[in-house]
Amino acid sequence: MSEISRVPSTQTLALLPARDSSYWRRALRSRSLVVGASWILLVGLSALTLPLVLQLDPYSVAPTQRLQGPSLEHLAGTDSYGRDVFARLLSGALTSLRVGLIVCLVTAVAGSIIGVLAAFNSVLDQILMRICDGLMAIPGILLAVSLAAALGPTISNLIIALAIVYTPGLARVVRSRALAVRSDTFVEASRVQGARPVHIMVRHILPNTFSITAVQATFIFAESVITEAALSFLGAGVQQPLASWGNMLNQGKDVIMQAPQIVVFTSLFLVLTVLALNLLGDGLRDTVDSRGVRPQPRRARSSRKRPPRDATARAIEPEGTQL
Amino acid sequence: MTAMALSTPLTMSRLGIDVDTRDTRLELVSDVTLEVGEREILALVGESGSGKTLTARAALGLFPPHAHTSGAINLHGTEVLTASAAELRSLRGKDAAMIFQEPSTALNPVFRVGWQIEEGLRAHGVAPRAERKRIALDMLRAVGIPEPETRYDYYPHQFSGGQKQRIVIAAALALRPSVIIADEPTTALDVTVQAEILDLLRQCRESFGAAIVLITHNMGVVADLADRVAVMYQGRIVEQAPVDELFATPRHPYAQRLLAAVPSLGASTGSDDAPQPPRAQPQAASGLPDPGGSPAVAASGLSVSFATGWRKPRFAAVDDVSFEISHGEVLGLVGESGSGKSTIGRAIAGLAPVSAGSLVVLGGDISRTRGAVRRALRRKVGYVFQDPATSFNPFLTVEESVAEPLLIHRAAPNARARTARVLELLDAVQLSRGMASRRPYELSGGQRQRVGIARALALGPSLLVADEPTSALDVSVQAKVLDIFQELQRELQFACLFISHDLAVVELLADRIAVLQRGALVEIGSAADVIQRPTAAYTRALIGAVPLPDPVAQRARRAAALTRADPHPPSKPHLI
Repeated sequence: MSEISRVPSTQTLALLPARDSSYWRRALRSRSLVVGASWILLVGLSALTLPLVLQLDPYSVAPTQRLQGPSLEHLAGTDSYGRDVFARLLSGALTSLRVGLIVCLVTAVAGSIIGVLAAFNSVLDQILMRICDGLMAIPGILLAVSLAAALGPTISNLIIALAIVYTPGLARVVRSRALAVRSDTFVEASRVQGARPVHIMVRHILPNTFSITAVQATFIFAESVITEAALSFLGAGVQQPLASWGNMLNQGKDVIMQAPQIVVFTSLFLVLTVLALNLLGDGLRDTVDSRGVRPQPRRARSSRKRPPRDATARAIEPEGTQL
Repeated sequence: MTAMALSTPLTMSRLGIDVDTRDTRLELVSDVTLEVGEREILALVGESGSGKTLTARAALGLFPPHAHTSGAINLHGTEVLTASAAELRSLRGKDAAMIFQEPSTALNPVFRVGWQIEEGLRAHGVAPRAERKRIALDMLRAVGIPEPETRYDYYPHQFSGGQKQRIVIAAALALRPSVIIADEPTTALDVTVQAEILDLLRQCRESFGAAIVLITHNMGVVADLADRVAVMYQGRIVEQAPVDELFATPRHPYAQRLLAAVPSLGASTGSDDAPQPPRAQPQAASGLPDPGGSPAVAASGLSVSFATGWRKPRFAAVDDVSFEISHGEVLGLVGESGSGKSTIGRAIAGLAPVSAGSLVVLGGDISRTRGAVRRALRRKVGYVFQDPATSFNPFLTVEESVAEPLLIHRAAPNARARTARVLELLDAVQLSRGMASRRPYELSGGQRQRVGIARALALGPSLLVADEPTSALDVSVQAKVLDIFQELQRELQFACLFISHDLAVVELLADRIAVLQRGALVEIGSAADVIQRPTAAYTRALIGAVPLPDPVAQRARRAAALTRADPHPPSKPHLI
């Protein structure tokens, strides 16, 4: 791949790989994206498979084996009921990832719809954005605690509370992107052809907001994991005996002198997972945003032209060859 | 002003610039050898991507990131490629200065222009404040800015585009550099302003003794200003010759093609009337029913105005304009930027509101209809946009983009029929069928614009609005696109409003030409009449300002203009 190639040659351009594969390769080149995604996959897969393989049960109580240290039998020791901490860590991981994933998906879908609709109709824009402003004023934990108090502390109430809190932020981001895309010429071109608003929204605006939604949703994933842990720690989230990193920390703090490994391992998992999610989001942003730090071999020659989206070698235009 | 011993301020020998990309190393410039003599204007021409800007910037030691250089550049006795950062700093501005293409972005909007002219002086240690201000005022006066004492404290937004370019030139001249690198200095400007800036550059050479490296793709500008021309193609200089020699007998095939592709004003009506067949009987050639007798577009007293703010007068972009376009006729619409020519095109397509008067398009009033009637009307109107880079959704393939109108109007019974139609359209604009699965950013500007034409023609429109379809393209690419356009128009006989700022392009295509000035129609008539025998003074000024792509003729015209007293007295610079 390192041979010197003449610049504006159609042959060279034709030989370049298609964009789809280069998207993949760009993603794989981003170290933070690969590291973050690997950790999340590792945790998720272990939580799904290891309990079956190793015959781990997060709920089996063994009063004789309370607060033991790490051993071959119990990799991360046992808690004050004699339950295997490693099994509970994995089970808690499943809870956290499930809550995070559902919140991030719900938020992404709802936020995209609200954002695109708001960008399209000025009346709707005022209504939706004022509602969003109102919701953004409510602290997430407070809303979740009150929902838990009113409807009972279940996982689904937790998901509802988090989705309500995070949707407005995403909707705003999508709206601003949609407004920018709406003023692009290709939207006008579609309008001149007689396209209905729904057609423009679905076919032109929505796909162009995907990249920003994906990045934003990843960060919401990370925040949801933290908030879920905080709420469970406070007792307003996932309840015992179901395992969650939050309620494990709560329980572990009472016995921190006798069995510090409970708090240490749980915190470690929580921190690493949130870090991985943030890395994933950062990497995703670098991949999606073509104005990153990548070398751009060609100077912009006309200010009226935007730099091409994919400013790799293929962007060099072989205009001279088609005379 | 120093180092008198050197007669050639700038020499490059076997310059090569390679840039590392992720996968490969690109050779952007190779084996460039050129000399710029004292007081010489050397034009570097070539199309975008040919390396002319890279070459010229290299003289200042400005390289793109991840660049590797070879060869040697000698600027006033300094080896640029091996110079230290401090040496380069002292050389920039003092020995060689740069004039940029887009004056509105070359000036910082938050600083006063006087301060910006003095910036270089401060950097080069011209210490006394009063001295700096004196030089700045002299420079402003020299480039023809009226009342420099007052204007010294103005901000860039208070100047017009042409004046901003004068200020950029003033800043470049402040340290009396022996070499000025002008990177497309007039591309962003209107023709009349361009003529003034070219005059100013000529005076830079005559009064300041500066050598100029002029980067341009406009052969008219080359003919007007340059002494010598270097033609660049694919990163190499393929031909270097004095300007008269190059225009008379270009040797390299690329230089020949380049010159052949330049549309020349007054050429198509002068020598060859034959290839333009009369297009008087175009009725019912396209498959769509023509409402008998009535023109394709009839505008009478058309006005378009925009709200500028609460309780402020509305801005009239188009004011009381009346014209007609018959079926099968091409009406060229010319005017400078801000003359409202694009607004008229947008009004015809229903993108801009009609505030007064009437605009009947294909028998319907597009601005006052809604819903299904409006959609039916839009089905018969195609639109080609100016900027091919933004007029396609990057998520759609070429095929999907071209098929979109078919999809919107359910004009094809099934997906297979749509694909067939798309391939037919790609054939019509001479793109290979393999392009169908590509995405817009994988195509060159010219190819993209051809896809734009294919999309506009997808439904067989009886009217096409082309809004500066070639202004973002290189000359040679433009020639190809115009060729295809002309051929399709002859074949399909659609009526067309062709908007352009380039008189030569409009003359090539249009049956009739309308000239707009500040929203008002100045002149309308047959193409030959408007170009050969313009009646309005504005049209004459517009035609007179276009530099002819022929150095001998252009020189003769300039001499004639000088004896006839200067047509732009306020812009005549008073040089010190």
